[in-house]
Amino acid sequence: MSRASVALLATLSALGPLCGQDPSSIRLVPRPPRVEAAAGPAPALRTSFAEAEAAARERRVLLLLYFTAKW
Amino acid sequence: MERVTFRAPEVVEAFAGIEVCKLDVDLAANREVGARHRRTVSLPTFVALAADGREVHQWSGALPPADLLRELATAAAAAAPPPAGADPVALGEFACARCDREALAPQLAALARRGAPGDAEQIERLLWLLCTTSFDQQRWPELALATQDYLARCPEGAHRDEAMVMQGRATFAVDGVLTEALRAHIDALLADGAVPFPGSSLLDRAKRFAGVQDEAAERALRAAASAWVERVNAAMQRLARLGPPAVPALRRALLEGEGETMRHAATTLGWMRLPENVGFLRAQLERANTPAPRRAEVVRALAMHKDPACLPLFVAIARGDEPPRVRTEAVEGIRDLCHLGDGTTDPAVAGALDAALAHRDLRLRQWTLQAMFEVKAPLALGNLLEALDDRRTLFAEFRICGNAMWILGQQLGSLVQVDGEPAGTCTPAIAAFLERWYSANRHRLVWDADACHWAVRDGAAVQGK
Repeated sequence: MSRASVALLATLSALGPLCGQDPSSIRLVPRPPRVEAAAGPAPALRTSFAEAEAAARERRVLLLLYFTAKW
Repeated sequence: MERVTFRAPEVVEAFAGIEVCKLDVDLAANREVGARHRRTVSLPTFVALAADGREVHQWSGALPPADLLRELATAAAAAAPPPAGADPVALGEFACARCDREALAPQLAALARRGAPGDAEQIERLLWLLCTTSFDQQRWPELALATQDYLARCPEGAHRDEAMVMQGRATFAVDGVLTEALRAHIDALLADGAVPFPGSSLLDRAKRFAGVQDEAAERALRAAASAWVERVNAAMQRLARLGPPAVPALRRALLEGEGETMRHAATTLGWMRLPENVGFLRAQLERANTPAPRRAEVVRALAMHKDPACLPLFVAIARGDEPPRVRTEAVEGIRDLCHLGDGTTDPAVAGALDAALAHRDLRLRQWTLQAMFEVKAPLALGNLLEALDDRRTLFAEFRICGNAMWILGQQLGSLVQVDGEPAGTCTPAIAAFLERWYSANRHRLVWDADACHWAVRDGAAVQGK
């Protein structure tokens, strides 16, 4: 191997990491279905203020309003 | 909150003993309860009501289970009514919490009769508490009476000026008249919102450039910046809470103001989300001579209303030839509306975003890619491939090319893997790989409407080398 070839190989091997990955290691694979982490059962939340207010009055308990939005 | 904190066993148990109501602030059905009980634009916000409807506690922000339980305990303690023979001050506070002027009167009389040291101050405090509670809960008839009581009994009271402003708000609700006190208050809040951001001097900047900045000066500047943010936010939130009486002044500031004045007016109108402002803002966009910065603010304010009827307008702006800053605001509006509906399959939205991504403006590209996350219709893959070469940084290690890679993967129902692990960022090698893959497969791609992604026609797996 000539000195020029060695220099070229050295340069290319130094450039490899700069370019990211070895192209042969890159693949496009089907996206797995999204699985929600199981952190216990979700509590039942009312979504109607009128119904929640009536239920709280009837049970004589605290009514917690949880204001939120989709993010 | 719902995926973690609400599912903790101790929270599930605590919730079983109360009623919990989830209210999406973007739904029109929840607008009235939000206006009455939500004091801040922060989300999530929690408001605890006693069984008799009294508001007893309020807080904002996501919390871990232990902190949430602590807030619930505070609410429960505040919900308990005082015993019948309690001190007139406690009974008076209880009456104020229910905006019950008639129940407050005998307690005020009891304090006046007792005449102990501090009782006169307590009387004023309770009269003012009735005003603030009525204002907070937007109970205008009760507020009119409460402010009338306060001003009559405490003509030189510490809150005299504020009481006159509140009285003005109640008057506006009853007959639409803007009192002088309320007008002056609105003007003062607008002036607060127009104060320029405290910038560093040329000398400071030169010192920083030379690496010899003055630490004390830097600290003072940071403190001034924090104070500015607090002051401006407070002014905007108060204007938003005032609602309709502040609208004409805010509209003027949006259409005639400059810089911060214009921007803060747009934000405040957006926070208010009054249906009557939608028509007004749309009408401004029909004027061809509005300069781009103002048009952008009008579109931003309109987008904050999240009115689905505005989607076709945003689509037209996003795909049209308006300046990038105007198109960017329209794209944000599209993103928010699509997000409300769990994404979109509307080809018109996809087409508008394709057109927007073809522009090189950084912010327009950034928000277009964000909006594309909501698209379940076919996008132009060629545009996305082109964006893979755009290595401009958005923030931290996130780049345009990284977001483009994610959208491309979503469109192909696939993930890019490197050494068996999902790729977090898009490298030039990945971009080159995807471009090669696309060249080899583009003629075999068909849109699978059920799966909402492109598929290779002959059924072969999308993987490749």
